[in-house]
Amino acid sequence: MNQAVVATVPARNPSRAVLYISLTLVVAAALLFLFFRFNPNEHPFFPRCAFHAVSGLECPGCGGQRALHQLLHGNLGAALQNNALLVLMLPLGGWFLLRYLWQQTTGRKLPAPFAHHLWPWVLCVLVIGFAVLRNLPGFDWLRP
Amino acid sequence: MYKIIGADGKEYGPITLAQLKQWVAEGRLNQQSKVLPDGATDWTTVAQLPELANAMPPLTSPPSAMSGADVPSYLWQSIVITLCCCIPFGIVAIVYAAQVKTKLSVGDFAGAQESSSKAKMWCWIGLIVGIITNVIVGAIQFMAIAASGSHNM
Repeated sequence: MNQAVVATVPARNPSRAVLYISLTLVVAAALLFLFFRFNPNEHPFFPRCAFHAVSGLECPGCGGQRALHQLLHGNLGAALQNNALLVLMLPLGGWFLLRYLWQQTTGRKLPAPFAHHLWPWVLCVLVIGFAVLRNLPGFDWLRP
Repeated sequence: MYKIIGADGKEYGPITLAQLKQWVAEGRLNQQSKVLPDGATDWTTVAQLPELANAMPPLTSPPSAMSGADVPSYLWQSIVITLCCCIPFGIVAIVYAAQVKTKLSVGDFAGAQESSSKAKMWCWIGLIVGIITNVIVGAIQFMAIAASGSHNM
């Protein structure tokens, strides 16, 4: 058979997918351990927000590391106080990560919520709105 | 075996399927070329031969994206850039990422591809500028800690 003109669809390489997933899980576990063991408030080796250092304003990600630390210790209230947006979006991000890993390993797709094309715009408004609100007077509860 | 009628109107063959594919690949035949498979009584066209369904080169150059599944939106990457690098470039990337989905929903593949590459570009800008500024700020703070000898910030 002449193989000259066969549509080339790259075959998924299972061993490579397993390697990437294992690496992702190892790095994630190491990071989670660091964020559990050390309080970013008390240790200087956590990266600081450059935007905050320069402007003095809180960016939408500010307080995220402290929120993660509190969350890993089961303090949901303190986590929300540090970065409500990140904490509320974590379950969603976790689901999409799980969905991706599941698809890579089994080839099957889990349901994808928020698939409508307008949801990214909602997310956009949420992030910008959160960034603005937490810097306004009267919104102390959104600041870390 | 197949008989074919070339662009010059002359009959060629019989030729094998491999030879036929070869000629299609070389552009000596196109989708409208007449072909008579062995045992058939009626002439048909190359486009209608099921055994050549995968061998046809597209008539026009293929668009960079044939379907929505091929256009990455870079949505999660732009969110991570925004939240981790704390740089407004991430917001720009999110806007372009959202544009990808919206353009795909109306079938504008070329527009979606354009937004996709812009989202990708702003993700990279955000990542690189983010890393540079964070390293600079981190170095300044490290020197401040070293100078004061205090670990409390």
